[in-house]
Amino acid sequence: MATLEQILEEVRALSPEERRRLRQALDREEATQASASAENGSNRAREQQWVAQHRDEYLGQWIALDGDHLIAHGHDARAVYTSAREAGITVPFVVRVEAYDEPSMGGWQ
Amino acid sequence: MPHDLSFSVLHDYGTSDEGIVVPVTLSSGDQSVDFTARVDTGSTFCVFKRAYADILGIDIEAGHYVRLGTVTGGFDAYGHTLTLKTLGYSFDVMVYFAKDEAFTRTVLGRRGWLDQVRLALVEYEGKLYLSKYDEAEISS
Repeated sequence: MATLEQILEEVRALSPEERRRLRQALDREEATQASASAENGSNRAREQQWVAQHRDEYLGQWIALDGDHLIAHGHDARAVYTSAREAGITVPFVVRVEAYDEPSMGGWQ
Repeated sequence: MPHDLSFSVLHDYGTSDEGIVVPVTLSSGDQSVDFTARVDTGSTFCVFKRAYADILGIDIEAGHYVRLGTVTGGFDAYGHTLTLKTLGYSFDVMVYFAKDEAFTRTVLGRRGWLDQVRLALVEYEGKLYLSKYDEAEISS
């Protein structure tokens, strides 16, 4: 397999039109991956639903979820994260269970 | 006169009162954590809870200090350049962590996120459309 430097060397030899087509192809590749990633259940809807259903039980605690499965919970975010990593989750989903927000206005600077 | 834009990603954030919630991955070195954040066009920066910096092993107060104003006063925050990933797109950007542990908001603001993307909202349907800002228009 060619190294990155070899690929860059070949790119430098491309015509402007070929470089433009290469940029478009790379953009399409990234867009396709982004779209697939976003549409493959990664919107955390299951986790949000779990939080809404269990808010009163875990109010004020940090929780680590894998879908709708509780992995760890506690008052130390770092400890909860570490427990989830030790459970085999490479990138744990960790949130603090907050009280339900009243309607709000941002307006920050 | 109609104006056309195309987007690569459609995110359904629902129609609850939770707001426009987007899944986020924040990474520093070999540490990454997932959570959700709200899109906030009224926020200058992306601002996250202090605990996420703790999780990633970041020395918060070693970052770029800012005082952020709110309708009720203000709060201190520190900026760090990390990898922020949302809806399939990754950016190496400056994000801010609130100094106060009691800070509850987690938001994606204009600098560091909105300035990296093209975005459209259909709030009635709870849908967010997204592309990277410099992504070539996708032809069908």
